[in-house]
Amino acid sequence: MTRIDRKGSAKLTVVSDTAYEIVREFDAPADLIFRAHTEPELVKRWWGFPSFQWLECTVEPWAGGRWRYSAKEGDMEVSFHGRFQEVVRPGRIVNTEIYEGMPGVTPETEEGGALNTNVITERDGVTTLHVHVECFSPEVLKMILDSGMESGMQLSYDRMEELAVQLAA
Amino acid sequence: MARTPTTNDVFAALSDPVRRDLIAAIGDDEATVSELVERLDIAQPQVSKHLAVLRESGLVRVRPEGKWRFYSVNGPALGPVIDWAQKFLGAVNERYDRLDDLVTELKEEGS
Repeated sequence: MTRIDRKGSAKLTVVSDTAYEIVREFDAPADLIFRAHTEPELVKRWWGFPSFQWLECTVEPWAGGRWRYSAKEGDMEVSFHGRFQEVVRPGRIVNTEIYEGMPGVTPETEEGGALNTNVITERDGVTTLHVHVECFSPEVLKMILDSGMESGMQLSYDRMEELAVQLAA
Repeated sequence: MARTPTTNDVFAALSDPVRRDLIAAIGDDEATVSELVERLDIAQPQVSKHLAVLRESGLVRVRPEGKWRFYSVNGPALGPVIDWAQKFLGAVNERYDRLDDLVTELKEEGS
């Protein structure tokens, strides 16, 4: 089967002073995309960086359930957590996301951060993931975008290559 | 913490939607204040105030000619914004490329 190369095809749009959206298509059923977001063993295989040493990956995928990702990247500990507001398999996941690196934020903090709405739709075997990230302040949006920039720089291209070789095998 | 716009802080200059509209309205041409007032339907004092911030950041240049002042966008000043946007987009893409690899593997495993 010929596979369309979708590498680097995510579309990012800043839609307001506090929100941005990502749209990405996958040649896979919607249910696999849903599982990759809600099963810890699968989350660990794509979220963050391949060099992450996972410390915690908790996912309670139901309304009111909590999630927390905590990992070590070199000497740096990176942790995020939040609560699910809506989980509808396989089409919709709405959750808060709080970065614990912010001053005054602890793993118990429920306020601030961002509200992520993941909409997963499948059509003719192609699944579209639409992510809307609504930040609670322009400062949070700026911080998310800035940290994205840093993490982009930290990614080791060797690991990416390794992944590609694995795939081709 | 409030950020004080400095002359080289193009991000602070672009944090205001009216200023982003002004940049877009000037485009790759030149425009006078009255043309911008008309194009954006915003009061003249507002346009002048925001243009002053854009000039301080270096994003907008002004060319006086007779009694007119022509404003234009200083493209290279947008460089840091473009670099930053590309890096963020790169990080987003890397994340979803890994998700793509994962679901492809799962599909092949038939799980």
